[in-house]
Amino acid sequence: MRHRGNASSPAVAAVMTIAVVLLALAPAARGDDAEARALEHLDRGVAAFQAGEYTRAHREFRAAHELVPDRANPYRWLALTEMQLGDCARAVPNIAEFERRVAAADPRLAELVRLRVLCEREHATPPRPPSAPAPAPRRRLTQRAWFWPTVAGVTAVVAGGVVLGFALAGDDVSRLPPIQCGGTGCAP
Amino acid sequence: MRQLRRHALALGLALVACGDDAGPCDGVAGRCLAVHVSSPTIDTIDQLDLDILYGVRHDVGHTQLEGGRAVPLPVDTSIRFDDAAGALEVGVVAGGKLAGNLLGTGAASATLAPDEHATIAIVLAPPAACVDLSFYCGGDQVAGDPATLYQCDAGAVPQARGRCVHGCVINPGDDDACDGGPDPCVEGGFYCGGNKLDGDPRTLYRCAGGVGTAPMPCADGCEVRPQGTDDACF
Repeated sequence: MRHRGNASSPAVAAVMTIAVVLLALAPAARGDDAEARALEHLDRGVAAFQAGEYTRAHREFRAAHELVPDRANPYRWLALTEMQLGDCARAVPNIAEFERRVAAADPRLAELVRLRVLCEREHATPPRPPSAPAPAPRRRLTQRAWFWPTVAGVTAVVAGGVVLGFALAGDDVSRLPPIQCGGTGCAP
Repeated sequence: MRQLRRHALALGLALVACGDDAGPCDGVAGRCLAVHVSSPTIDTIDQLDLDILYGVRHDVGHTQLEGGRAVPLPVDTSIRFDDAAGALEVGVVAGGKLAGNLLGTGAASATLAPDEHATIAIVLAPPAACVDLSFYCGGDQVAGDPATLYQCDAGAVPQARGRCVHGCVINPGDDDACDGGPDPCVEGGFYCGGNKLDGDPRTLYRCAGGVGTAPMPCADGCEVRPQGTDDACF
């Protein structure tokens, strides 16, 4: 006669083992899912970046970063996008985070280091000139006889100049620095 | 009041002058090639790579705004050449990049007399997939002049190997090559590719059975010498 199954039977033990293994794997599966979703955000961000839609790209890279905060690549893309958005203040810490997470020989580092140097150069504030002594109180500018005619004249000239400038400029073409070629090669 | 009028006139003239439509070669002394780059598919680049074949020389130049800032297309730039006598044939392949990614390539060429200014227009289109380091005639998987042989540099602008005097031959499934022309090579002689045997104009070959063997790449180009004399690397 067969005994009713109990906790010590091989079948129950196998079921319990599988359950324990599944429970142990659950966080890893969640991690894989986060990685996959982060990759999707990253891909969408790169596409937006290449299309010149930097605000949307930044949103996607931010989402990728939040899913995998320890990964280096989202920091790099965040920094590149912030540079395009003219936001050096946010780009520099992201460059530092990227540097912390990759090997010194990583080929992507050179570009980011160059950008960081540019940021630091652009944000170096010149020393303030010594303050001049406060001028003596004078008659208000707007009360002077020449003030309002001058304002009206300058306004008219500026408006006319802007209109003429637009009319004459026509096709708005940006200018890149020239390249010089000689006996030893070409250089900017 | 007269003084005010004079100031207003000066300011107006200054503002009109801001609508600067001068060409990139204006005011440049010597030979200068203005390059106008546009694209129907690319909005913005942050670097323009130019593969420049001028005379027998070749180099790749890069230009970008200060700080590597992005710039909307179209853009203008110029290539200025040191003085040299005679006409100068110039072939240019342009590659527009954004964040290090090659978005498009295009090509154009011109011949400049001494001190001449000329303009070329290049339209960038998404690059075709070429096999890295393989040779292609312009227009065959790489942008360029159909009578010039180029080397594929995956992810970057293709690099000119040289003009093919007798035309460029497309070899499906194999490297393209400069045609050697109608005259046969002399057994055992040395020839640059495209001179009496098919091959790369920057490689020196030994003639064996009418074809080039034992290729030796020339770092600074290959010099075609008069008949009866072996060609040699520069």
